[in-house]
Amino acid sequence: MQKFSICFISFFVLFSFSMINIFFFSYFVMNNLVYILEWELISFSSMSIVMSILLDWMSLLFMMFVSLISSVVIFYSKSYMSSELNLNRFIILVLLFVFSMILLIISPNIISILLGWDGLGLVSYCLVIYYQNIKSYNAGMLTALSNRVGDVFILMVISWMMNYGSWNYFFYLDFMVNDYMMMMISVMIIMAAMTKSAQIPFSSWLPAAMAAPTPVSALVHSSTLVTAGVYLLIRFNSLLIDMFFFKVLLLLSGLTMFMAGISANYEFDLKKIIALSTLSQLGLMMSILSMGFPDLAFFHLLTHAMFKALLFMCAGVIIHMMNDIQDIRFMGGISNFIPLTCLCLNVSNMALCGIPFLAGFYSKDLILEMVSMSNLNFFIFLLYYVSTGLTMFYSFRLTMYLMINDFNLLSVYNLYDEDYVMLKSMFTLMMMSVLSGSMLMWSIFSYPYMIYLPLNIKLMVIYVSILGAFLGYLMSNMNIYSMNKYLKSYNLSSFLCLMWFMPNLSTYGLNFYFLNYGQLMLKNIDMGWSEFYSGQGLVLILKNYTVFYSFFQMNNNFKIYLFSFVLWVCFLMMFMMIYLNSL
Amino acid sequence: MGQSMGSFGARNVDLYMNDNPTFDPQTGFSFERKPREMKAREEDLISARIPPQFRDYCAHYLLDYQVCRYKNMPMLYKCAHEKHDYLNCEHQDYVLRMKEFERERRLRLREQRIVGAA
Amino acid sequence: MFYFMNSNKMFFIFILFFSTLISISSNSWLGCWIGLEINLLSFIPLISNSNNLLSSEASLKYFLTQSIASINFLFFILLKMIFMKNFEMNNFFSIMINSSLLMKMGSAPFHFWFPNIVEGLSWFNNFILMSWQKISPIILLSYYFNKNFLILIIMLNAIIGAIGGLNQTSLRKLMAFSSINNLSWMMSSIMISENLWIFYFLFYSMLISIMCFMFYMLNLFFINQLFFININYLIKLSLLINFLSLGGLPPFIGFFPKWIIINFFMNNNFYFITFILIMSSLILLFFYIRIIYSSFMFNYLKLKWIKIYFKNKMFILLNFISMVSILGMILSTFFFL
Repeated sequence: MQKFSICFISFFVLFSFSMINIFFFSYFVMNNLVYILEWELISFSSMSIVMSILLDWMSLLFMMFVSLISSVVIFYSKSYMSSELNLNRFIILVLLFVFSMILLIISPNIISILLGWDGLGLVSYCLVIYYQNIKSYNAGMLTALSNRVGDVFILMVISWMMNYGSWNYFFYLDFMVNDYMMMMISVMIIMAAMTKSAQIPFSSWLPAAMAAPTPVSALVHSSTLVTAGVYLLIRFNSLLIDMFFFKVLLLLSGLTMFMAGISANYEFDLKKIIALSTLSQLGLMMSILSMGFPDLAFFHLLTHAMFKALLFMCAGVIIHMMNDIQDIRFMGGISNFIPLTCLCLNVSNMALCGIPFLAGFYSKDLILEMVSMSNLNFFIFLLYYVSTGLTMFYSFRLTMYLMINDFNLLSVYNLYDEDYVMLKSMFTLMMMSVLSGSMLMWSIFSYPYMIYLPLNIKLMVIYVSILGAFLGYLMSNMNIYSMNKYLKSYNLSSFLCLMWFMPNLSTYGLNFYFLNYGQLMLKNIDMGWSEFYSGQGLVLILKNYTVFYSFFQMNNNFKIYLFSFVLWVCFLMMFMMIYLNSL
Repeated sequence: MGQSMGSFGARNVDLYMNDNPTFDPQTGFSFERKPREMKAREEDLISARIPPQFRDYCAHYLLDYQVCRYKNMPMLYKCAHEKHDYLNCEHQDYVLRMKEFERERRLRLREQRIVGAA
Repeated sequence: MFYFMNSNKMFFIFILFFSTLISISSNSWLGCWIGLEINLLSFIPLISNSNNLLSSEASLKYFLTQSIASINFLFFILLKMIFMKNFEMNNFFSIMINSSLLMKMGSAPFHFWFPNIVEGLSWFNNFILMSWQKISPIILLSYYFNKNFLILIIMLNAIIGAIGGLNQTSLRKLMAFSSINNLSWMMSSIMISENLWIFYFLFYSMLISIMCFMFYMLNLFFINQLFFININYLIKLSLLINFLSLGGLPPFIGFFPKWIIINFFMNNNFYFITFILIMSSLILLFFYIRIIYSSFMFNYLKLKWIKIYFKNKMFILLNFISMVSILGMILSTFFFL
């Protein structure tokens, strides 16, 4: 019973599932097969409810990667979360997450995409609030509500798609491109993907969601949840190619890439740096997708999943080792003590930067070369290359802080990472992160891209990388006694550090200002003037009139009354005289 | 950025990237120029289900590459030679199109000089 | 109810009925006047009661005001006959005739005698005063009214009925002001058609009858008597519902005539009068609800050893009529199936 814990069983099932998927994938990609399996639930006279599953090479490949990473992460969490009392609950939540993701991957119709999407949002909320403290609750609320906005967009897409008679978008996207309603649908799909993949207006939830346990971050926030948006746009790509809003998406994702790169340089929390690095790479995926290269985006999605999950797992080992401290200013010199973890960390960082022939190189370099070959703006070009440089910048800074500078926590210490469960899982991903770039490049690109660039543009990647590395080295040499330039430019620093104030927009801006305005309305109008004009004011007026009237009624002034009637008659008579005289 | 920077110098003769050549293909050449011909057959392309945007003048190398991939699955790295051939052919095609563009631009400039002198 | 056991009273009631019939079915104005006079003469013995000082004072006041009104009425119809010879309705003389008739009815601005007198009479006499005595003046009004004058009087009636009723603690005066308000509705129905007036009058007199007889049987004259009366729950409920129905609250039948009048007014574009009527009805309803809420919802200290039983046959009839009041609107839809 001890040997077959739920971690081990689920690891085994998911790992074998991913191995099976490798074979299926290679068969499907060779023969260019697309299988759609349908199960008819109910069939009335002309209406039928059918559940379909789409199996083509993209969905099989993605399923393979998702199940591989999740199996490794579950195996890793057997040791990482070993002090957790309710480990079963945790694993079941992770498994629910994986199943929702798989449901999203294999669905050719928008309804089961919604099921997977909502499942992802809900289960990621449960996972983020797993450690039940105030910060986790706030983070979970931010995550869940940002994702919920995307759900609303997909619900609207469902209702607009009822015009086409079927929710299986897979069949009619190529034909209905020029329709007006399709434009509405595509705008909403883009907005939904932007919320899920944390692009510029909605990007405040991703650093906040680092309050989740590290295996959750490794699975969810590096490879599966945040790539769901990119995957949706890849599926809808034939619809979105010539749209204006796609160019807006290019701008916004480029800005996301840039902003996340800058903010990661100001951060001192280990997991937040990695989260912002994920955000930057997501911006890269979205922007290359909006340039019109969906397969490049997919390629980068897969390779990024590999090394980012590895990076999170290494971060998890380091956090365990430092007695749950996540601040990098306390860390340093760990390469002397935990060389295996450092090996994985280095490989992952280098793959992130795009060092030749690791996994990140194939995807990132190809992306940058295709960007240079295509027809775009100077600003976008700048964003791409500067963000690549910034990637190198924060990665090198992280390396400096973690491995090269001195250890800052204690004076007598011994750091220990011989936890073979975690090491085995990290090694699996490291092998994949080294090999998967090249494997995928050969398999996916049946029709290769031809690149023809002048020398300097080709070397531009190397230029910005070297520049970034140099700046990273310089930045990590800050001391307490060196003049801290941050404080001299406080406004600019806080703007760049706090993610361009977007978390304020999502939290404070939606809560405080509206509630404040509501209180103003309540006090002034509801309990103020409208009481004066309709409620209590009328009561006061009527009361005064009644009292005034009873002054006339209650005095039993009979004589006055009769006499006044006589006066009225005399008045009428007088009037009559005048009237008759005029006849 | 590359493409638009490439046609930047041709704006003064009102020449853009997507324009067709307007002059006679033979002018200025001492040898006879033949039109390019597709070496891959139509029914081969259709049966291999190659997408329309890849059915250009290098499609025969592409077909060889696809055949090699199918035969060597899953050790796809063995097809490096065929991939290299295809990419070279594509490169030559690109260079040829660049040269045609430049020729068009110079002919138009010459036209302008002739008209300006007259 | 045991009123009729007295043969004198029976005689005078008989003559009262006939006088109204004389007044409304006569060919000439003189016959109308005769009917009105006989009405006055036969009502006085009904209300005068030498045992009660307040009652006899009320009957004296009634006699004075009504006789002045009748004399003026005679004078004005003679004047009209001399000058106009029975032509055209909306002219100056109609104002004079209308004002005397208004004094007869107890409508504003000549209404100041009405609450005083109602305060002095018993409930049965009040019922006759508030329902039957209004018939002949209103029908006479409908024969020769001045539209502009009447619109002014309607609005004045509505407002005075509403505002005057707010500060009353005596149930009889409250009913008087409610009667003045309903008089405005009745006069407004006159402007549309006489049929509509009969419709309104029937409903109104049914409701008034329930209220007056209930108060008669419980012997209530003031509002604070409602607070510590120890009647059982169902009678309280029935009183409550009839009060609400009198105020014109929708599912009960008191809403129905007001609704029909508003409907006809809207068809004929009398928007402003409708507004005034509705708003005054609202204030009156507020006052009823205030009474009901305080007396029937709260638990006051009750005298528990005095219980009131109802054993007379009158109560069965009353219950039947109040059931009509409660369910009437719903039942009336069955007429149109």
